[in-house]
Amino acid sequence: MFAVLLLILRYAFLFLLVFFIIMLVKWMVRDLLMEQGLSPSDPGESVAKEIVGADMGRLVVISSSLGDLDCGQTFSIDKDIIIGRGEHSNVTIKDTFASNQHAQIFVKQGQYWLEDMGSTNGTFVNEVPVKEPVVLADGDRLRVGNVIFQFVRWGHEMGLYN
Amino acid sequence: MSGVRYAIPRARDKEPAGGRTVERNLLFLAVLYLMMGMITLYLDESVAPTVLAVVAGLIVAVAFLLVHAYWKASSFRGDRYLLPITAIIISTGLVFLFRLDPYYGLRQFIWILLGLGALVFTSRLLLNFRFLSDYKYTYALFGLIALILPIFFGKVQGGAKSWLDFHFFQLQPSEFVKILLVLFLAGYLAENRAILTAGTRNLKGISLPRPLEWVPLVTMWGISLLLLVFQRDLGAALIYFGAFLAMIYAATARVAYVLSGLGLFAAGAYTSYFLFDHVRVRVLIWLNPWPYIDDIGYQITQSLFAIGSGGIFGTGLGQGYPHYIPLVHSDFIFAAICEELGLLGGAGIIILFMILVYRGIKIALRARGDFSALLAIGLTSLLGLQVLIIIAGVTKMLPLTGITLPYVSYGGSSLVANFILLGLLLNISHEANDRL
Repeated sequence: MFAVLLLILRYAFLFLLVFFIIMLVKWMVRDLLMEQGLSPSDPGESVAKEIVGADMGRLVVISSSLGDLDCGQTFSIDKDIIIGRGEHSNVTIKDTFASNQHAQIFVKQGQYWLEDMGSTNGTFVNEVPVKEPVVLADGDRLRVGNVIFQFVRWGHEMGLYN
Repeated sequence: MSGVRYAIPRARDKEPAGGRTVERNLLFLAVLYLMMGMITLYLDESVAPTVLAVVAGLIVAVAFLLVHAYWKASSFRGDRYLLPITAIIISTGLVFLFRLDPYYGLRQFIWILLGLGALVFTSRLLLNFRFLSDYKYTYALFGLIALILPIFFGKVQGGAKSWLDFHFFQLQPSEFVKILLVLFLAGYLAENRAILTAGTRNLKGISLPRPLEWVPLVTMWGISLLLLVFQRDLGAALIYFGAFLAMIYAATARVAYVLSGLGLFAAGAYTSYFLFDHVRVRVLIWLNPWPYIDDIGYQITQSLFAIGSGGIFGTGLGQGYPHYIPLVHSDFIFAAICEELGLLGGAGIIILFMILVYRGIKIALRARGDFSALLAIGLTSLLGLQVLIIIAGVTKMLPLTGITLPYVSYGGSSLVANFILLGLLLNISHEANDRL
């Protein structure tokens, strides 16, 4: 009887090792699926068909001296947008250093491109002036005038890993 | 303003489907596994049972759960799979050390507690690890001094003179220096990445960087390799070499560097074959150990017998004869695991290490900035290479070089160093998960 118990214990030990690995893999796969399939908070009038869900880019204000732009304010980029001082820009910066149509962000083949629209004081990505269209990567810092945005791509990073 | 919405950043307190809960659940499984092993050992009369094993298991289990609780309370956002994976690997090691020799088991138990302490300290004090990149030449200096010391004051053990003897415990500096080396390389490569990638001068159509840019790098690394060769610690030399190549490749994406590195390696291996007796012996018994089964080939053949006799499900914990293998508690512990847990257990350990490496690479890919990414790649390749080299050595796939199986083999320096390594990886993933 005792010998049988020992035998069961011995193989339960091995079984637990295998079971651990199965659960580990299962949870990691679930995580990966969630990262890919995170639903967008609001599809809105989405123009950029290639960009869905968690892939949607955002601009987050991380430094601003202006009253109507607070730190932490987020702009979702669900279509091509124009940043500038003018009325028709999608992200309005009431800063004297910003031109009317300062820069635009557009989507091409699933990537976000930033292009300076001939602004007077320039657009900077990570403090490097933008001369020709550049691809934005997650975490890039965009400076227009005195306002600094952070470009955020992977949406899940805001929720999933907290 | 069409098309633009103001969104409040999502609330952080909402527990997503996998927060630290996954870590807790997996840790519970690992703890159950550990206790199951210890109780089996305790009840089994054939393996010198001591109640100490159960007590030690219980304390280690509580210690792991406490680390988890502390991280949860301090809302640490490091990768949540690393701790449970490490926990189950360490549990396997601890159970087998108690099974092989309670003396080593008890000492390992104390080292595990110290290692967990080191892990918590690392995740606390080095949370903003970026400042580490400022002191790269300091590490280079300390690392070299730490490697020189054993040559003069060292103690020979297992053919390698890489130990410092402090009466009640011994220290193997090369275990810690490997982390210092990776820190140095990460700092250096992050700074000079662009130059090394593009090169500043042309040599017959191949662009090369100026000597000024690569000489410090190669010098530092060459000296550390030479010192390890003097200590006859070839396993460590191999790990340093591999990690260096991995980091160079990750930083520059130039295959030429890797190829020339491999060429250097071939030359070095060839030279050391003629220079050192023990290298020749290692190669000899790797090619065919059977004629030397009574002397120099004894260890490796016993290891092969043990692995073979395990079969698919193993003989069961405590039912094998691992004591025929010399040094089974350190370098050859994997053979004992294969004997008693079989192919299933052996493959399981390998899979766990593979997942650990996968998490490490994932952390590197998500890391913010070059220094963090390179550091993560370097640390991961250290771990992965060490596992590969020793498991391949024990199973006679590669010539044997005496190094420990991380987290499993008996060895305090190795254990504490690998816990610090784990802590750094966790900090890098914390930084990546924590932004915004």
